[in-house]
Amino acid sequence: MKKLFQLSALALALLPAATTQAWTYKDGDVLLIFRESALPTYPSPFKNVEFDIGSVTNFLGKTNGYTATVSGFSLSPVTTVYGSDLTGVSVILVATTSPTNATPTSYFSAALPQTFWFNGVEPYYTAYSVSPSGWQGFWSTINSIGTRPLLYSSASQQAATSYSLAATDIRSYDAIVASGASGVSGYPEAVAVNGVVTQDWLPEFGGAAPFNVEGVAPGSFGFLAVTTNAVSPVRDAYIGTFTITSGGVLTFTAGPPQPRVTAIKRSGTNNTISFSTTLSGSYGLVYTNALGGSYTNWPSVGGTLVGDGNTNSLTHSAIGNAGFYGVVRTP
Amino acid sequence: MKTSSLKKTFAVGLLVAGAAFTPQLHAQLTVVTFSGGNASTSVLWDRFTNQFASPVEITTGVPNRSSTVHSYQGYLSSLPGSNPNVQIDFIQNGAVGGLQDITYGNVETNAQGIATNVPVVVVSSTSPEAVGLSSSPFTEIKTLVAPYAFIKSPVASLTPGLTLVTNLTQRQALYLEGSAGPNFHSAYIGGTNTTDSIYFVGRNTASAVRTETDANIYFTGTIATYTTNASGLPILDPAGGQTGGSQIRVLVNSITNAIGTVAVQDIKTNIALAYEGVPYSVTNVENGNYPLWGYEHWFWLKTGSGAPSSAQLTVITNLLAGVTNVTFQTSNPLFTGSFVPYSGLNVSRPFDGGPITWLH
Repeated sequence: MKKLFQLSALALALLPAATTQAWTYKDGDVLLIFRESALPTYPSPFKNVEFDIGSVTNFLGKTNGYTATVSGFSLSPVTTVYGSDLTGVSVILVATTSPTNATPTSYFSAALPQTFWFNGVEPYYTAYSVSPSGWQGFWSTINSIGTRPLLYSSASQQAATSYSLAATDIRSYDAIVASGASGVSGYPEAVAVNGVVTQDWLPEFGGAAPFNVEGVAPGSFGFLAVTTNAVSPVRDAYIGTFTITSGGVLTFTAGPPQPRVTAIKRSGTNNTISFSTTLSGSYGLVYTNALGGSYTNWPSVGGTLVGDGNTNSLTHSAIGNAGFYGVVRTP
Repeated sequence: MKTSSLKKTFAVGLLVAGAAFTPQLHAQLTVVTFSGGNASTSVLWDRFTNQFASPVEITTGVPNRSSTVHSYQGYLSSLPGSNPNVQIDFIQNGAVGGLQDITYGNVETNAQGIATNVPVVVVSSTSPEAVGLSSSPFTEIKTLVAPYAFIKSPVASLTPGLTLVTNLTQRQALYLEGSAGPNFHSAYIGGTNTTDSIYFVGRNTASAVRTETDANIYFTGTIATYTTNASGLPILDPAGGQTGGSQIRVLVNSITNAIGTVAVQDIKTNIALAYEGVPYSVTNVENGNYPLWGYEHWFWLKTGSGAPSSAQLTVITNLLAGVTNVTFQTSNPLFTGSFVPYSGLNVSRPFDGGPITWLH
């Protein structure tokens, strides 16, 4: 039997802006939304609790494995609404570039004309991109989530560091994201099934996203950058993973999840290693028949494959009776 | 000529009026400050001249008069004092701005430069709930029906991509408002071109045209609205929308393949698009077939320091009678070309953009 292990590296740091900050939304800011999703009826009797936690650049360009506590918000308004146990509370993170910022090259190594970010739950099976006009629709919604609390609040309310807004409040995430979907009159995002009004499209960002964008508290969820299909080749980027505890501690780990070996099979001299993948990265095996020294010196074997969100396999032919494999992903 | 020894009932604000302004003081002058939308400015002025004796707009010696700030004076025999004994200050800061004024006690500046007037009455085609406010503190009177429309330029050479676009569905309108621009093509809304650019020109968020259109098409996002740069080329409007219908029309008539939203009174010679297959007409509004409309209301506080005084209520009631007069609303060209008579509606709706039901 071969011995297998994963390669990982962790770095621990603190993000800047460790204190709660005033809601001064501008495009590029990350909006942190807490909403109740467990109840079957709409509108939820629980308010949305919303924060502007600062620029998305705080999470971009970090070395894979970089870990930090996200402390640009206060848990107090959240527990005021939901209590100390966040079970059943959804967490959403959204951000967008500005339509007037055509080339935010500082965000990535290549010029990405239009980008938005939000969280999603693995696995991701297809590269996700939108048309430029479709991107603008996302910008329209995300910008509205950021600007409406200022637009429709009194001067004193505008000094708030967070907003606790009823699900029907025109400033709230629920009310904005729900727009446009068809359903029950007055609550266009809801549908009536046997006379019971239920939420329908909200978890998929009002039906605009092809997957659930709501992370569950407590739990972990990915943070994705989505570009337009005007960028070639089409791609999306896994920025990192957020984890929120039942006590409301939110952490960010940069880079895609580490590949996880799920199986090994030997047939003759062929060793087939199966492992989890995340979309878009290149995966390969490294091998040694004798432990010692840095794994970075282990030779690559068995070729590479592009991650597609599924469990995939690579095969290496080795005649020895014992050996050690690692799975590496780049970038 | 009045003298400075005469007592003025509306005295607040004189301390901050500024050295450049010497106010005229009048005996028993009842001042009522209106704020809100400018859709019915012409109606308000016409009705003022109809309901009050010796009407005059103050145009001399005032530092702040503009196209959106006016002061009128006149005489009402049922109120004490000699002519003039009534002054109307009208601050056209948008329907939403007006509602926020009386909700939050915001100060406005009238045509005379007096900067301490908290408006007493709001004229608004937007309901408080549509902009996140409660209507419960207010007395509400529905005065008329304000219809809205999507328009394009009448010049064919300026609308090559919109030749076949004569109608917008709700979904098309929703898509257009949020996504218009260089990458939005006429094929998305009924045209055939998949490479051209369709631009949208919208009002800012203070206007009822904006809030009511958005409510009707279920749009809650930020509009992708365009203006022109110094070279005349379309750019995203940094102000987030225009302040008046005439500005919308100018832009629609200068940007190639542009669609705008206006109150019906501002359609002028532009081409109005049908909505959900129904063209605008008074009859189509009255029968519930054309849904892009909202009630125009007057709101004032029921109680508290911002509520109108007895004398102010007399002025308000008098002017209100003129505005809601059925003969005026059904026969005066000033009204019939721009609005729909409230009395003519065969339908009603419970909230802005809400379902339309038959009244009879």
